[in-house]
Amino acid sequence: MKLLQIELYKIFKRPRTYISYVIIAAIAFIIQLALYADGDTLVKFMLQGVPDFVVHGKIINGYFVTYIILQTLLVNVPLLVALVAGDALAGEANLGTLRLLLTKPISRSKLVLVKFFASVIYSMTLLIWLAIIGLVLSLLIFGVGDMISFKSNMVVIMSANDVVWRYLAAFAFAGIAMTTVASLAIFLSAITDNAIGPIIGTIGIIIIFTLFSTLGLPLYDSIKPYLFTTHMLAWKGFFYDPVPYSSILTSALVLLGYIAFFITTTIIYFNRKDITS
Amino acid sequence: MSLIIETRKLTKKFGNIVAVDELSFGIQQGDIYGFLGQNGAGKSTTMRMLLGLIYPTSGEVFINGKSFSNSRRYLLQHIGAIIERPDMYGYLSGWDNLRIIAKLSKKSITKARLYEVLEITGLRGRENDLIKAYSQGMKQRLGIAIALVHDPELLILDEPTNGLDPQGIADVRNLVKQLSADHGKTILISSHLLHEIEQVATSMLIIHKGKKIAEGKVRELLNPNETLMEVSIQPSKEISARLHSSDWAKYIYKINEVNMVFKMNPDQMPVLNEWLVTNGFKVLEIRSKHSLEAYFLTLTNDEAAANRTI
Repeated sequence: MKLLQIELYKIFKRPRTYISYVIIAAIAFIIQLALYADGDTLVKFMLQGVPDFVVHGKIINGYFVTYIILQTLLVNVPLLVALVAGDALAGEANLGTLRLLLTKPISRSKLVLVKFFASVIYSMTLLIWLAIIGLVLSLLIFGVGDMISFKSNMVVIMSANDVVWRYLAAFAFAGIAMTTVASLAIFLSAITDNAIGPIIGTIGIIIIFTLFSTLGLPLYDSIKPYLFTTHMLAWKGFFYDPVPYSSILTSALVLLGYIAFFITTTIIYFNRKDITS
Repeated sequence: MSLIIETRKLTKKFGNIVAVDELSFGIQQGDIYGFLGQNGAGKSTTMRMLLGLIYPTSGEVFINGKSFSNSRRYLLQHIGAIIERPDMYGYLSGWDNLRIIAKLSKKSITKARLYEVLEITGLRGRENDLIKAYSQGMKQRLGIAIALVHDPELLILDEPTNGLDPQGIADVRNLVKQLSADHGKTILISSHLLHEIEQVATSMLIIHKGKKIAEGKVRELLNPNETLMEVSIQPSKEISARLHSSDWAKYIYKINEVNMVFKMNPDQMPVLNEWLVTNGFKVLEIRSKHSLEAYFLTLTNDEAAANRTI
């Protein structure tokens, strides 16, 4: 617990940690501003593929805006998670402080776990910040209303009192997804002494895997179910009707499997590693 | 006295490169043990193995008689160390760095103790400055404060005077002596400079290309009778014959028409000088260097420095 407190203290004392919160706020604000000024055009564009669809009421409400923000930001947040988690061990090695830590009576496994949990806590604060900026602020600016979401060429309509729990569930699922990213970044962070490598590596893997996951090319269909990036998008299921609980659960289990794999591999590797930095 | 550190045939290979080669040595409690070798000789690799940062390919480390590999965490509670540079968190203050690392020591460390080590290392009053504003000397001293804070019986200091100005070097040297004399610490200190080790250490180990080449008490290894005295004279063809037939012959190490090197105690030099002058030789210059230093300089490829004496 003491070690975790120290890790969190180091993370939150570092000025660059706060860049992520600024980026999230900036992206959310840009989307909110655009939808506030010209949201109707976006809705018309989105409804193009749905013929004879007549809308009554206030579509551009807080819930809808949050959905748009989430669509955009949940692609970017992993990159922000990688900034801190990728730096966790490699940053210490690069700074020369890893050898300082490891000449103290702490186990290497514990150090990896503490770094991992600190990165997870940081990721959760990003999601909470995203919830505050996205959901709370959007509800204050745009008000409450029934929410529409899109699934392929279908429109899903949810009544206003059926939305909040979906967001809570989506954020909880996003927590698992971000933890997967953090565990990948920690793994890459353990195998190099260069702070930039694991950050770029994590971002690179996510971009390439996301391409495989989202490209509609049959060639890649067979590998899609095995890529964690495919399952990271399962949060969207909470905004379908009916909610595909079974596939969401499968995705959550796949992601948990990835987390266990990355962290176990990191511990095994790090315990055998010569600290030459 | 018991051995606080003992290594048995300690070996480390990186691929085909043998960084440390069957190195065995022992450090007695209370010693200031100098660890000498040129850059790349294997000093830091050895020190990292003593601290469990690097795993030996073969051989073993014992601290206080316990196998390090079996009791790493327990033994690290009794060791303080600086390896290579005293790197710290630049965005935190000196106080924060000291406090954070102190918390990892498994001992309950009071605020008073933190102030005490700042006092010992001369950093009291500068603890709230950010590390990035510290000079190299201040970082070195804070590194020593961090190594000391949990009151370990053994300090491992890897080249603690690196990058320091002459005053900083003298400060660290005095601090090391003080820690040994006043606080009873056993100290392993490495350097690539013999005169640095000579000034602080009670015992010494010299390694070259990972192998031990000398180990013992400094006063024995640097026995004054082993000093090389180089005398330059105006060219004389008689010198060799005259010296070989004199009482000084037994001290001759090397001789030619213009230079003579004697292995002797420097105290005898005035008498030899008088003999040379009385016998008509014109003495131009006299220089001295210990034979171990000359040997070490040869090893470290500082031929020019070595040849200035031999």
